[in-house]
Formats: sequence, structure tokens, C-alpha cells
Amino acid sequence: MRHDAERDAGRFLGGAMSPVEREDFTQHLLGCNACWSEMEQGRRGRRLAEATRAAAPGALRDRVRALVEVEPASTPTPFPSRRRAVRRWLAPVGVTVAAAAAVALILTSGPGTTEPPSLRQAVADFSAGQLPGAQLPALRAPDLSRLDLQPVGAGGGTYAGLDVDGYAYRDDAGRRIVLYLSDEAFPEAPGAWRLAGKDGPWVAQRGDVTVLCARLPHALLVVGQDDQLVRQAASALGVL
Amino acid sequence: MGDDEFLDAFHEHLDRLHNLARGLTGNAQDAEDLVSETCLLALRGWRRQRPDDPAAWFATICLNAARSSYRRRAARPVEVWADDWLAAQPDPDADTAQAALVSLDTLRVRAAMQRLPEVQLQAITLMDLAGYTAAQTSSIIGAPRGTVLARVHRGRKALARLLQEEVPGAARR
Repeated sequence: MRHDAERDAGRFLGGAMSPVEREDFTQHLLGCNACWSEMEQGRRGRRLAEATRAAAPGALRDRVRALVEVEPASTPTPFPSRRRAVRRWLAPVGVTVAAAAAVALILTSGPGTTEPPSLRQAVADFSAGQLPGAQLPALRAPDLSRLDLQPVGAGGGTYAGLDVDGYAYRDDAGRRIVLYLSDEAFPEAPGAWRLAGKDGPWVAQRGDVTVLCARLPHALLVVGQDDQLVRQAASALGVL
Repeated sequence: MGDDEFLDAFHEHLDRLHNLARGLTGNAQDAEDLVSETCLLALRGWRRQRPDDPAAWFATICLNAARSSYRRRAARPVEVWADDWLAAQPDPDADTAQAALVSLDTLRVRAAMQRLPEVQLQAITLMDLAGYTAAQTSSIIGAPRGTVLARVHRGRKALARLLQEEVPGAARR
């Protein structure tokens, strides 16, 4: 019998044969070493490949949700540059960031506002557990040990043309905040509360994420899900 | 409402998209970046027009995004949070030896897959890792079904051979 063992085994394993063809091929297998060997190798390869299947990590599910929540519906923006999600360990030695003082209030922003891309990226990256990029930050991580917050990663990159260093912290309870520092001021979030004076800090809420921004001496964002912790961190940094 | 439907649909297919991205990129971090990129591209397309077959449509977007750059970067090292690393370690209360072997085998298989020709890798990843049918895979990669089946079969055979070669005595045992 003239036949193509590779093609037939591929069609059989791929479910491309009709019931009659399958029956005939199964009978043929019993007496054909070439087809038998093809079937063995194909099945073994399939088992190996299938063994690498894995469920998506929970963090990826959260990241997808965050991306959808912050992606504006009506104003298409340039696709954010792909970055290496580099997480670099830092020694928990602090440098205090001095800044203007004010009082924090929280406001939920209304729908239909146009979020500045740099803020949208900061919130999305916070939710995804990512930092701005792979560059070594100019400053060491500010010391927030008095709040039991330990630095767990830092990296510099660019958000919509703004050079940004990100510093990630966690406490023993798993609460997270990220500080974003830049040499330029972050744009103000739509719907944010101005806390003190026209150049004072502001606070805004994006879903369950609180964003606090103080402008002096660096543009500073404090981002976290626990708004009390965000304000405590800002206070510890001298901006409240 | 529309975005909620999109999110439900994307989450429904997230496991298979993650497996697809994992197979195409060769490492966990690039896979997550690729899925994220796929999500944003798909969301923008979804807002314009809903696809007839979201599963195949998501995969097509993922494959096209992967073609652009991810495979070229597949060899770069991966850095992880310490918590992630600790979470990935075998449970000391479990069967440590068995867990280590399973983990090692998975790494070996994934490494071997990256040595396959790209068309075979795509076909195997779509069908064996992501669970797409031959018909869906044919639609996703734009090749006839017979071609898809041939690529998958050749890829499976090559994978089996590659891993057998790594263990010289395996065939005699």
C-alpha cells in the first residue's frame, strides 16, 4: 500500500479523518511500522508540549483589568512603548525628599475626563506591579522604614516623554505604594483636589488607586491602594 | 458596558492566550507583556467592531504582535520579584523531588520548543498549548488545514527527538 505515513499520522492525531478513515487507519497501523513510529513520536511530542500548559498568573489577570480600566474610550493614544519590566533590588537606605506641605483630601474623578498619558501609565503600572523601566534611578530609595515600608524595587523610564524614576515599597501586611519622581511636574489629573494654593499638592482617585502629587522640589507622585498609607508616606516624605 | 463585555471575553480566554504567548516568547515576562499588548490592541478593535470568534481573533492579534519583536528578544534574561521567586519554589511539605523533576522537565521542554522552526512552534503552541482546533489554527495563521496539521506533526516529532537526544540513554531504558 502506497501511503504518506507522516501525513496520515498528522491527520489522525489532528482529528482530520472521517470515522471511516480513522477505522481504516487504525487497522492499517497494526501492520505498518512506519505509521506506528510516526504515531508514537507524534503522540510523545504532543504530550510533552501539553505538559507545559499553565494557568495565567493572577497578577496578569489584574494587569489586564487595570489596562482596560485606564484605557480611554474616545481618544486613541499612541501605543505605549514596550518596556522591560525590570525590578532592581535596592538597599533600604533613604534620602529624604523635601517638598511643600499641604493637607490631603480625596476626590473621585468624574467620567469622560481625559487622563494625561503619564498618569494613566503610572496607575496602570502600579496596578500591574511594574516599574517605569530598566534605568538606574538617580536617587536611592527614600526611607519609609518608619511606616514599615521596605523598598522592593526601583527603575527609571519614560512616561509620555517624561523621565520618571519609580520606587516600589511593601509592608509586612502586603500593602504597596510606588513613588514616582521626575525633574518635571506631572500634569494634573482631571477631577483632582488641589490641596493648598494654586501650586500645592493635589490628590485624585482612579478606581481603587489613590494618586497624590506634590510638585516641589521634584515632581512627586505617591500611588497606592490604601489612601491612608499614601498620605502617611507623603507626610513622611515631608510633602504634607 | 462594552468594555465589561470585552474584559469578560478576554478573561475567558486568558489562560489560552497566556499559554500562546508563553510558547511564542519563551519567557514569562515577555509573555505577560505580549498578553498586555494583545489586550490593548484587541480592546481598541473591539470598540470599533465585535469579532465573530473572539478566541481566534485574540490569538491572531497575539500572533501578529509576537511576530513584530518578541521572538527576537526571547533570549534575554528575566528578573523577578523575590516574592515571585519564593512562590515558585517547591512546597517543602510536598513531594520535593517530584516537584523539582516536574519543574525541570517543563523548563527543558520549553527550551526545546524554542529550537523548533518558527512555523512549527506557532502551530504547536496554538494547538497543543493554547488548545485551538486545527480549523481555528488554520484561520489564525492563514494556512490550509493540511499544512497546519503537517507543521504540528513535524513539530511534535522534532520536539520528541530533541528531548530524547538530551537523555542519551533514554531510548534504551
